Amino acid sequence: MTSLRPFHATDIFKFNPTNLDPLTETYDLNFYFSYLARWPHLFNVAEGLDGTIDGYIMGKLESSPSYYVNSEHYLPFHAHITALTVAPHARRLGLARTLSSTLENSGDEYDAWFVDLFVRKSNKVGQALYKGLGYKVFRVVKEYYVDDLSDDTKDGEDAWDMRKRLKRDVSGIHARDDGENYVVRPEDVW
Amino acid sequence: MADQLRASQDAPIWNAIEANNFKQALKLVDKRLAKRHTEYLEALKIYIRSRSPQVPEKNAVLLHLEELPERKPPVADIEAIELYDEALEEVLPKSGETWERIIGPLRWQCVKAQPKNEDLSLKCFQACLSKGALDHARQIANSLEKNFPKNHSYIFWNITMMYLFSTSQNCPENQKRIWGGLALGQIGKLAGVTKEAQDQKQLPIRSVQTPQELLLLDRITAAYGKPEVRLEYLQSTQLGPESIVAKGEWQLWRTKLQLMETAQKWQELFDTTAALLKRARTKDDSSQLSESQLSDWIVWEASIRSAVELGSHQYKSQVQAEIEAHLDPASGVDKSWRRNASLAEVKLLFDSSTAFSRLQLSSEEGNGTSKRVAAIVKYLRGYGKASTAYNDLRPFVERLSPTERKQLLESLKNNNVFLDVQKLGDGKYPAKQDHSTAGQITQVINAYKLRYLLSCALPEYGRTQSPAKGLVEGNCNSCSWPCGLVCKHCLEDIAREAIQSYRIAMDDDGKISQTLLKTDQHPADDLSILAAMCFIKLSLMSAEKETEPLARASATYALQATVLLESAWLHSKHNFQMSLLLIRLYKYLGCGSLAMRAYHRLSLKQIQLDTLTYTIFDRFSSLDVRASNQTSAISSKERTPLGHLQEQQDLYLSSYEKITKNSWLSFKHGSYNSIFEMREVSEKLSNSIAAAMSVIESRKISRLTEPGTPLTEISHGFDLLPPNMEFPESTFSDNLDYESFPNFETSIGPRFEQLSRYIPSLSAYRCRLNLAAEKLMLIIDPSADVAQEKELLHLWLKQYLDSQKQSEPARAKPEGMTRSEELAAATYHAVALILRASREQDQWAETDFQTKLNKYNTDLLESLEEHLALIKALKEPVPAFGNTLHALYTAHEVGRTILHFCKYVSKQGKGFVEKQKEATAKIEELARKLLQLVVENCGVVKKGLDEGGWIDKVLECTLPEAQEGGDDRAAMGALRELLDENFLEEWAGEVVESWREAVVGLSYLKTPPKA
Ligand SMILES: CC(C)(COP(=O)(O)OP(=O)(O)OC[C@H]1O[C@@H](n2cnc3c(N)ncnc32)[C@H](O)[C@@H]1OP(=O)(O)O)[C@@H](O)C(=O)NCCC(=O)NCCS
Repeated sequence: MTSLRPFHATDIFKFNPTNLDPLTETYDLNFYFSYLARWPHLFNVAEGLDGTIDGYIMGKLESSPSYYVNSEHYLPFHAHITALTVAPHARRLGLARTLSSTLENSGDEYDAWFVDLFVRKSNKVGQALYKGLGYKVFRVVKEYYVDDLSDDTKDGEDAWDMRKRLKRDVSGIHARDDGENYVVRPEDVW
Repeated sequence: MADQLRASQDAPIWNAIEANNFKQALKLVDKRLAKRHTEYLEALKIYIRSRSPQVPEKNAVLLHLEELPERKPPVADIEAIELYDEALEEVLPKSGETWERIIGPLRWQCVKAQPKNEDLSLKCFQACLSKGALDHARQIANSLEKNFPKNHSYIFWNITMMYLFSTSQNCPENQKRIWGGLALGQIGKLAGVTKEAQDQKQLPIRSVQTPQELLLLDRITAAYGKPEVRLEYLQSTQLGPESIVAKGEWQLWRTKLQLMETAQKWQELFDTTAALLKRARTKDDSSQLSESQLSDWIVWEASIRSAVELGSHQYKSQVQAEIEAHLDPASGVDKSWRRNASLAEVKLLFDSSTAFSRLQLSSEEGNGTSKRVAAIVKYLRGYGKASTAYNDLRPFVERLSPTERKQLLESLKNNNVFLDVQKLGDGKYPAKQDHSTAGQITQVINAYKLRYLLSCALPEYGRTQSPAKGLVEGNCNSCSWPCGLVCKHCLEDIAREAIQSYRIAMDDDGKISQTLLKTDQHPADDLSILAAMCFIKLSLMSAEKETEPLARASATYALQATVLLESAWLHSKHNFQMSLLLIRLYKYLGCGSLAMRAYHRLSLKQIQLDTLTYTIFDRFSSLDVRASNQTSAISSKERTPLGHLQEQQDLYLSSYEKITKNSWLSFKHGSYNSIFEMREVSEKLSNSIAAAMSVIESRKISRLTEPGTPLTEISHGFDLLPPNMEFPESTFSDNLDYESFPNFETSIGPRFEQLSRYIPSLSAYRCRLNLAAEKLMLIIDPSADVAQEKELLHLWLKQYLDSQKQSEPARAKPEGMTRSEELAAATYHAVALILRASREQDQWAETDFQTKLNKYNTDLLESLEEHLALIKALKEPVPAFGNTLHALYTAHEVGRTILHFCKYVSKQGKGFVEKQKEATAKIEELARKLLQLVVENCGVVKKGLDEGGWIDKVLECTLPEAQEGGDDRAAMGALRELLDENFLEEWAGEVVESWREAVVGLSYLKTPPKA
């Protein structure tokens, strides 16, 4: 069954079904709690029958810091998917699609320009999901990740910065069709 | 902070402080003070003195600080107060209570003197919040609200603080209702304003305006108000989930439905949910299903519940029609929501079959497939390709009647559940083509899990619930063979078929693997896990006779489970459930280093160190104190158990600060609900049972691996725990994750994690005993001769023993103990009583004193005798499995502690020593015997493992040669077919190596020389 609810702080004791997966990072408490403090409505869980965590999404709404306003990499007010994960036992049920659409709705409600996210270059499943939802590669961030889970011999992996227009961007000024060709460095993204 | 305070004229003073030249700094500050006395300079002087390393100086600082709150007029200079704050931190780090007594009032008085200074108030509010001085934070929030009436947030800060304080431990009992009531009254007023407001988009400052404020309203009303008022708020158009203020906050809907259910407002609930479900499938102007979330499972559940309660067919048909509308292919409903409708169909049938059609059903049962079985099969056909199908259906399968269960089991066994299974081969197990896609494999797995539920899990649970508790052996309902509590044949059957099926699934030339990411789990994994679970159950049901370990059936099954999981792991390296099972199995087998290897595969970090370290480190000090992990990618410190435990303890040390920092952030962003949730986390972490385990294990390990280190109370993390956790009234917070273990058991009975415990689990009872034993050891520790500390410990001992007498039986329920631990506990209890008697000088001369003492000594001797017998019973300890190692380590600790005890009592008051002398001699003798026996056993284990041929023995034990006339249903044959010979041998070699490594740890178990 599918049931959504807000992420509670105490869920950190229960999120192992998703977080034991290597593609899902387990962060410092600070990280989760600062999201709960700032964007509690963008942090949601898909719950299983007996209350287990089947998946969750962590999101935020923000713009780049104002001192970057003249930078070519400046990002206007937008929604960002910080983490989206579904436990292995609950995959391919449409939960990721459902969770990400809740964030898109919030983005529209708060008049954001687009939703964006980073996904590993090797994470074909993640990319398939986002492409299916209408996201496109906006730029490639060279060696954004410090490790490469698909190849132990490498110690860095590129990220795709993917983006989907929201209602506010009527004419698509914040979208790109050939984003694969735009390569930036990790220090260019904030 | 101190840096910012530095005015240019103070620069020389600060330079001296930074150079640690406190003498010079004091001289300079005195010079300036002589010219002009200021609050700041006085505080600076105290701060400098607090930095001095001398204890008397620190004590003097504390005395000075203690006087400050009484000062009239109060200290007004905030910079001075901040210096005092830092001085206190220097002399008494993390001193919550003292801070609250000294700095809290100073900060509040300072705010009170300058209430219009907003920055000052905010700074002090933040400081009080971060130190847990909630009453002062509350007072400051109140002042902020009064002095900045145009600020909407401060109104809610004040309410939040009143409520937070009312629910905190610091709040005096008689004030709880007062502050709670005030919070309720105030927020109720604000809610009233919102409700009455004409324009919901332009609300007055003093009103409820945001979703988080609504959640706060609900939280406070739930705690201090009436349920009907809570529901009233949620039902109003201005404060409910559909209000402008709510901005679609879904939690409000969840609460509202739940409250309506509790209030049994069935008609309203039915109408509400019917409307929600309809909206969920209704397209908006741009042809989108923008409200699809309204068909959340909780909405379906509430709808069905209300329909059933209302009892008339009309409601049931309406829900059925809604289900059909959702399932209509043209509805456009996404699959995640569509699945809810399908499951709702099953639920409606099951829930209503009792309410609407009891008669109709019973007549159906007699002829043909029951409707309920048909519904389950239908769902399985629709969703069998997803592994959640089993979880979804389990509660319904459990409700089937015996006849229905049989029907379902037959269909599952005949493989006619899935439409495309008609073309099956020999009917024994699905033909190869059925495993060709991940979805089909999952279908097969779901069928096996259901078969397991019907033929193993449910009957087992039933038998444990029956009054006879399986004592009467009967014939199994599923296979008709004789069985006890657990049916061996059914488990063997499922295990065999699951392995065969697994082999077919994996035999696809890597076709499926190629479609997976390297980090993905293999879809067939659950087949091997299910089989391993059967083996584990079989291993646990096999009585351990007193034969050598590798001749026991329990060992055979455990090794089978282990090798099966290790071989499956090769194809699915990120399957954490396999690793969790492997840790458990290797601990049972006495392979500490392999358990550690499996643990490393989980790559735990951060909060997972609280929830999952128990899987390996509970009792690790009596398994392999030096188990190293061979992975080269990690540093040598991380490879040791102590390194791991230290890392875990760092988590607790740093968490409080992180949480308070974010509570402040929540205030700033008006996320009131998060504040309460974070506090809950903070409480759970500070009382965590895993933290206690970590402290206990690291102390035990380092006592062996770093002998001679004085066991002062605070080393190895004692200061990590709240004081007096060993007292019966203390409560531990169990944050342990039991749920990440695979579980295909019934949803009503215990989970597999519980059923598969080879040894009793971590318990609060055991933690308390262990912590008390640690303190007892401090008293008698010969290396730590700190007279003052020992006096305090004796005082503690008296209180501790008194508390034991008064404790409620429920709390003192002996749980989670092995026999060795029970004996150790009995020994330590007698030791504690004798130690107390050694201090009761006034009673030594009394006539019954000797009788009392004799009784304690007899108890002590008895427990030691029993311990001796326990170790003697380890007749054939090679290879040493987990329980043998545990017994040896525990006995050694008892023996060594007793020797320390004997030495200690012999140095007590003369009058006492006289009375105790004779007994002490006997006790010492027994303790030495015990230690000697432990050492001898360790020798036997070592010698035994030094011999050759162990790899063959492991192989023989894992896959014994089939005996003539043996059971052809046994799963072993299937396992043999699955495993590659080279792999098998390599793995057996690892097992033997791990046993040998554990022997190295045993070399720590020595007998101390006679004094
Ligand atoms: C990526 C992930 C979140 C997908 O979760 P999910 O709930 O299984 O995804 P959904 O069921 O919602 O799938 C939506 C669509 O994504 C695509 N998709 C999802 N999994 C796929 C897979 N294994 N192969 C191909 N496409 C896939 C499909 O188009 C799918 O639609 P469909 O099932 O109707 O064909 C999940 O695999 C996961 O948690 N991975 C680890 C963490 C991660 O990588 N997160 C993303 C990076 S931020």
